[in-house]
Amino acid sequence: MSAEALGIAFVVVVVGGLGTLSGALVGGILIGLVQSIMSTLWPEGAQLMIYASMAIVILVRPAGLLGRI
Amino acid sequence: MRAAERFPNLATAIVLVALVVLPFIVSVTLASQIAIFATGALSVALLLGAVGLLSFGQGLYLGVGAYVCGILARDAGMGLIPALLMASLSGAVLAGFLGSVMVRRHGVYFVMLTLAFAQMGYFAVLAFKGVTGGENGLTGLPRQFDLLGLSIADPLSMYGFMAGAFFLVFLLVQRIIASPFGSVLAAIRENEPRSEALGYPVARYKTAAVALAGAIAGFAGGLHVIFLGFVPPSDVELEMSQRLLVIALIGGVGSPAGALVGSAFYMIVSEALSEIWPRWLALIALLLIGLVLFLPGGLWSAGRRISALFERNAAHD
Repeated sequence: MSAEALGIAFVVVVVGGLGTLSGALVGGILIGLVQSIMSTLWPEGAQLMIYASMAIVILVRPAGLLGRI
Repeated sequence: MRAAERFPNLATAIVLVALVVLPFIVSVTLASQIAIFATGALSVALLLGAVGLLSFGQGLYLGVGAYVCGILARDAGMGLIPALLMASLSGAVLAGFLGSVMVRRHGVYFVMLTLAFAQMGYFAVLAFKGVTGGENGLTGLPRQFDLLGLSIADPLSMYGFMAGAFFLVFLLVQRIIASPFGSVLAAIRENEPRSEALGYPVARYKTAAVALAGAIAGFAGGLHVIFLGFVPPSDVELEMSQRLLVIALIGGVGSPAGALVGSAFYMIVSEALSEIWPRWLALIALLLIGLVLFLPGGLWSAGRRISALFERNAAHD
């Protein structure tokens, strides 16, 4: 469990933007939404989509959604 | 900057001797495992040592190679060599594709991308249970493989095959580092903006290096499957990426020979420690911290340091 929580926390921070507090909030809401929506649509792929969203964010906005580049 | 490596050099001879001596020092099964993980660590050594790219995702390509080798051997009835070639090809194709995307980001963002893709791969393996067998792994492989009509079922011939495969990959990596291509990779490692300014297509060179490392990791995955006789899902887990990285760092990424030293050390120490204490990984972590602090070049660089010390003493006399 601890490793799973650590992974999700890391993804949330990266998606929101390293070093921004509001980014952690936005990232947390977003990843939570992705996880719960995917859990109803495709339960086995929920974890997969979390990391996919992290990869997409790094590629499109490396500093995170609310981070300054 | 280091002087360009010659090929073949003293390290080649040392590795060859070590591979011959290894099964007489440790059990033959352990020696096979050492050769397999050393092959996997070579992919990390190539990326980190030659190009300076840190990857947390080599386990992904190792796992993909393992699954491809397993599925082809089971369902298509492929022989040993074709299945291994397809395993490294699949690793190269996947790494080349992901690499072309990843090289757009630098530094810590590159590392995070490798991590994200590796995790995606692991959860994809769990999600597509029908193909991969999910958490149970892929079972039902042929009980034994033949190499050109000769069976490699008994432990010693299995070790011979694994050691030979490792040595081939080792020679390949040495050759790559000594080649003009390797010099460009070294230039990118030392100063990327300057290499770009000199007109080298840096992104393309990096992608090629990532694809090569993926091919090596996929090959190691295929070897692991042939050794085990089934595909464990742990091959594609993050723990495998970390293990390859730790092995490469313990041995030292300055020379491809470090992969064998690191693998032998890691496997022998973990075998010895796991009998004493189930939490032996904590000791490996302590050891790694000590190594980074006091011997940043890895175990392989210790030999170089000692020989340098002797030369200095000889110069004094």
